[in-house]
Amino acid sequence: MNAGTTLITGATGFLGARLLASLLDSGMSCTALARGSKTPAGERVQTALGALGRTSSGLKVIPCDLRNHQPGHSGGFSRILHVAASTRFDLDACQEPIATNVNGTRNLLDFATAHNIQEFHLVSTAYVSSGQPTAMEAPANNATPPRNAYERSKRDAEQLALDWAAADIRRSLTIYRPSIIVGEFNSGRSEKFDGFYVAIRALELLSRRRSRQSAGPIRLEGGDAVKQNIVPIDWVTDMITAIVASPARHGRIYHLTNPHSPANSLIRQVVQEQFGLGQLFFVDKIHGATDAERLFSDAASTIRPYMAESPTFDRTNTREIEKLTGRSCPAYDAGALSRLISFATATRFGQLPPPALSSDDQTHCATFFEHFLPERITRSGVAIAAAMTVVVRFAIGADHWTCRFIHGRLANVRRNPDPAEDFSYTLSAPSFFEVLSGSRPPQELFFKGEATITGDVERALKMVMIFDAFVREFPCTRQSLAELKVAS
Amino acid sequence: MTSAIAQETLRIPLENNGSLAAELFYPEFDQPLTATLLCNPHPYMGGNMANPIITALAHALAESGGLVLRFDYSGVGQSTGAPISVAESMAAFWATGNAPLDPICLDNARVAARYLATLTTLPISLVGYSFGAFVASQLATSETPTLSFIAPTLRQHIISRGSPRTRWLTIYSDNDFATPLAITQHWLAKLAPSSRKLCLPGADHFFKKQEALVARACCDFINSADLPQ
Repeated sequence: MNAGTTLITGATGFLGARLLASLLDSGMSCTALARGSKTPAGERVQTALGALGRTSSGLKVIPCDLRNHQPGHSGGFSRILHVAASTRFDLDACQEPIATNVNGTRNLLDFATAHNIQEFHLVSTAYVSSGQPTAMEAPANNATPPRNAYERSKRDAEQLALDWAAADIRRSLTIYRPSIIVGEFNSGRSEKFDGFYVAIRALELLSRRRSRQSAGPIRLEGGDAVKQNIVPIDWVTDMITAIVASPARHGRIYHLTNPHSPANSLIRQVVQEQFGLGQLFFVDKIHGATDAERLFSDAASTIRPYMAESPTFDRTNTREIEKLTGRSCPAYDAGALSRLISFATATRFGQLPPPALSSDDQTHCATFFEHFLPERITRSGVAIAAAMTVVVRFAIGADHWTCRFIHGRLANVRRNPDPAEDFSYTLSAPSFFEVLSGSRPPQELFFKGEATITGDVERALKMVMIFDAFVREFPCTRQSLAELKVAS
Repeated sequence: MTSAIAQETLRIPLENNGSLAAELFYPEFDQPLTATLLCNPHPYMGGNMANPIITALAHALAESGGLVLRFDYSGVGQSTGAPISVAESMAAFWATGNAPLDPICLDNARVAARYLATLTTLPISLVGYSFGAFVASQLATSETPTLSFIAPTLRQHIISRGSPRTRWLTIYSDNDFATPLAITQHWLAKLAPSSRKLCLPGADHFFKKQEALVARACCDFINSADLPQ
């Protein structure tokens, strides 16, 4: 484990804010570097952490625009974690993404040199070697040209960092190359809707327009078998945190990519179902595009190359970290894709705050707590034997159910917090239903950080195991709860 | 520098009935320098060999040249052989913090230790996390070279102080729901001055996201290196 303070850039961004929160959680001392604009840098970091339910109290924030300046600070940092980036694909009038990704990295490396900081961590992209059928966890292959200004800027930034590291044997450079980062795996939650979401957004727009136009087949340029290498933000955060905390694993390049990425065909099926789009199919080249096809093509023009190719990524180094942490990159099935898309559309791609439970899930939860649980618990061997007297709250999404158990019986359930509660569990609706169906042990959610406990942790953990035994006796699913609701 | 490690899935037969699911880790190309048995937290607190601390320990110890065995107690995961009423056992644990299953866990650990001893002539170090610290303490003999406790459950269990020949390490936090800091400090004060201790301020019983740090500290201790500052 490395001591000292970490200087982290990009702390107001999608990945940076989560990484900052995660590093602080792991006990590391951090200082954030952020741009100040109309809103001061400290306030921006506070807002970003606040959106994740975190506080920035005690955190030092250095205001700096790395595009033009080195940080005006005396140093004293043990390492730098450079997350700040522009994800703009085309060069704009302000020279983005070059200004942020290349100039910013250069200024930060100069700062590291000036202040004798020997450990540098750079977040790059898996697509620095685009055009290669297999990308290795090694310096970028320059044999093929980058496909856009973003890839070029990231390739150049990596080269600057590699040159910096090569200039002094004491220096350590670790490069993280995530593929296409999307929202949290279990909830679909995201604060940023570019990359993967661009095509989804275009199709959602198309579905709304088409309700006013004649329906017909829609062709999209790309291939059904092409895979979209998407990775959930929570997994990327955990991987980088684990690597930063393990000096033995520094000095390498990591492809934070998904070995089980979904094919365009699966994404197409989910989108068709979700948006009610009838005939949607991929072709190599569109001739004589319809208005709808032109609309999609224009909206998704920047990501078109990614819909037509799926390179293979070497993951030798990354697999080691997955084994160490026991946290493999999850596979995306229709349900997981549906969660991503549902969250994006429910928040209108970031324009609205995160939603509460869907009305269906709210009904299923209510059926579980208000009908299923009270009846089954009277027949549960483990509940009868344990004869618990306890008040416990379940926070699922934004909804609460507080259960008062007296001698193993469920005396009452209320849909609000209760000041007398002994402890509470907080988890997402998909995780909750996985537990109810017996497909995931509840203790695993807790140990993997997908569920949290507040209050009397010891009793809460004991009850987790009793709950586990209960759902083995009486498993249920969304469907069985829906049927129970109808029957009652 | 880390080295390639091999990982084998095993079944360890129990004396009367059933078997324990276990995994062995060791350096792929070198002779092991140490041998260690890992003891999990309590089954009724979610303890199994996939626990993040146990996992981090298995990898770190093997990467530093150790032979490591981890296993699941009877009734956990794929391990069998615990003829008890789960409902009654859980109920007792809910009420008292101790379960009829506890002696079975101890027997399981003894069987696992004996199995490990058949694979190597190296003396066997013991590492126990939470309830596993109690289990490890019960297994220790004068031949045990090192005994490492992580968040020992001192309020629930009497953890003996063992042989003076054994080197001790205790890793604890100042916010452990299972054992208040004062109890840990009182217990540590009675240990031999040569025993090592490491407090992780701000951590709790689970050392979430500090698993690598905990594993590194154990590893350094078992390999006779100094604790990290």
